[in-house]
Amino acid sequence: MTRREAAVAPRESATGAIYDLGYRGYDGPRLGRRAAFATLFVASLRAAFGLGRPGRSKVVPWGLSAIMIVPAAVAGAIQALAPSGLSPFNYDNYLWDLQPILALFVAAQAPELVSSDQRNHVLSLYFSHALARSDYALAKFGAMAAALFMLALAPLLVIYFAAILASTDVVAAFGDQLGNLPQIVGAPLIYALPLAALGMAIASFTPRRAYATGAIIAVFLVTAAVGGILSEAGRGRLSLVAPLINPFVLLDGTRDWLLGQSIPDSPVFRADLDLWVFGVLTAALTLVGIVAVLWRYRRIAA
Amino acid sequence: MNGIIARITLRQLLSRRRTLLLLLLGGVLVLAAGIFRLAGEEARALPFTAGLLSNLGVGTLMPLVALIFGTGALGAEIEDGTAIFLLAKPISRVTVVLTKLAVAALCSAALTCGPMLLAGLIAAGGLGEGLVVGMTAGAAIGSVLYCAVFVAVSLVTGRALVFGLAYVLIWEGLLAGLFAGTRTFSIRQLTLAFADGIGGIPADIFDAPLSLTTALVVAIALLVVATLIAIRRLSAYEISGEPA
Repeated sequence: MTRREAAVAPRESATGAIYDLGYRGYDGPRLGRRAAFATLFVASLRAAFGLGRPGRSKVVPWGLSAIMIVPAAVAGAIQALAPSGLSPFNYDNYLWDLQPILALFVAAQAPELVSSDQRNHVLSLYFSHALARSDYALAKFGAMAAALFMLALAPLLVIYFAAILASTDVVAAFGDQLGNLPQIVGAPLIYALPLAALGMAIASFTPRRAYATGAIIAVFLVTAAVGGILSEAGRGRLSLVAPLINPFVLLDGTRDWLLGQSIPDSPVFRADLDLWVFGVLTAALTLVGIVAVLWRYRRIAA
Repeated sequence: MNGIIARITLRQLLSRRRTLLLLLLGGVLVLAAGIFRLAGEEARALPFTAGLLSNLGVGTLMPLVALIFGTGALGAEIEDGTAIFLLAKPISRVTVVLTKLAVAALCSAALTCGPMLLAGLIAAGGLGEGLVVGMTAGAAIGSVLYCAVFVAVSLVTGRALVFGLAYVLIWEGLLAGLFAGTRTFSIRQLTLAFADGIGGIPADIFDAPLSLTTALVVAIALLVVATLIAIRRLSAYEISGEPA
C-alpha cells in the first residue's frame, strides 16, 4: 500500500480521521519583485555556464570558453618568448576574429535559458510569483548578455595581463596598459548586448531547443555569406549596403565608431560609410530584439 | 533497407514546418542569385556564381540542411524516447541505421541541390563552364558525407546539433583558415574538390585546394568509419525501463 492509500483508507470506517500533515503558512519576510528578478538573473547566468547542473550541460559552455581563451593565451606566450614578433591579436580584432565562437555560444545557450521553460510549461510558476512578465524577459536577456560579456572579456583580460607580465618593468607597463581599458571593457559590451538581444528574440519564440539553435546559427551564417558575396559582386549602392545585413559587421563598425582602430580584414574598413551608421543600426537591432522578447512574454500563454 | 522504416522516416523528416524553413533557407540562395542578375556586373557572373555556390551553397546551406536531417533521423527519436518502439521490432539494427541514413541523405541532397542548381543557373545565366553542374553534384556527395557523420554523432551524444555546428563552424570555418592541414578532414573542402573534379571547372574561376584523389580516399574512409560507428552505437543501444 502506498502512503496516500494509507491516509485515505480510514475514511471507509465510520469514525473517519483527519491527519495533521504539518502544512504551515509562510510568515517570514517577503523579498518582493526586485529580489525575484535578481534571483532569476543569477540563476540564469549560472545556467548559461551549466553551473549547478550535471556535467553534460557544462561541456558546451566551458568548451567554447576554453576555445575562446586559448588563442589569447598562445599569443601572449609567443609574445613573451619573442617580444619582437607582432602579435596577430589585439583588443580590436580579437572578438571579430573569434566571432564563430560567440555565435555558437549564443546559439547553444540562449535556447538553454528560455526554450526549456516553455517546453516544460513552467512559466505559470514564474508568473504566479512577484515576478512580472517583463521582469522574466529582462532577467533572461540580462543573464545572456552578462554571460556573453564574460565570455568576451576573459580573453581580452588574458591579453592585458600577458602584456603587463611580459614587460620588464611591471609597474610602468601597468600604467601604459591602463589606457586600453575602454577597449577591454567596451568591445565585449558592444558585442554582448546586440548578440544577446538577437539570440533571445529568436530562442524565446520556440519551445524546441534544436529549432532555436538551428535558427540562430542560420541567421549568423546566412547573413554573413549573403553580405560577403553581394558586397563583392554587386555594383554601386548594393555593394555598399550589402555588408550591413551581417550583425557582426554592425558590431565591428560600432566598436570602430566608439573606440577607434579599424581592422583591415573587416568589411567595415572597405565599406565607404560613415561609422555612426553602424552604431545606429546596432542600437536598432538591440532594441528590436529586446522589444521582441518583451512582446513575446507579454502574449505567451502561461 | 526497409520500406516501412524508410516511409516513416521520410514523413518524420519532411514535416511541414521544418521543410518550409529549410526551403526558405534555400530560397535565400536563389534570392541572392536573383539580386545579382538584377543589380550585378555581368562580367563578374562566373566568379560571383562560384562564390555563391561555394560559400553560401556548400559552406552554409549544405551543412545546415544535413545537420537538421542527419541529427533528426535517429537522434530525435532516441531523445524523446520513442526509439524503443522501433528498436524492439525484430528488425536488424544494421538495417535501421542504413535505412535512416539513406533517407536522411536523400532528403538533404534534394533540399540542397535543388536550390543550388536553380541559383547557379540564374546567377551564371547558363551552365557556367561546368560550375553549376559540378557544384550541384559535389553538394549531393557532400550531403551524403555530412549525413553519415551527423547520424553517427547523434548516436554518440545527446547534443548532436551543437557538436555538429561546432565542427562546421570551428573546424571547417575557423581552423581551416589557420591550419591548412585541417582541410583534408573538412567535408566542405572534400565537396569542393569533388565539385572541381566533376565539373572540370577552369582554374581561373574556381580552384579547390584539395586534389580529387585525396578527396576520394578521405571521403570513402569517412563514410565507412561514420557508418560503422553509427551501426555499432545503435547495436549496443540497450532498451531499458518504461517508455518515456
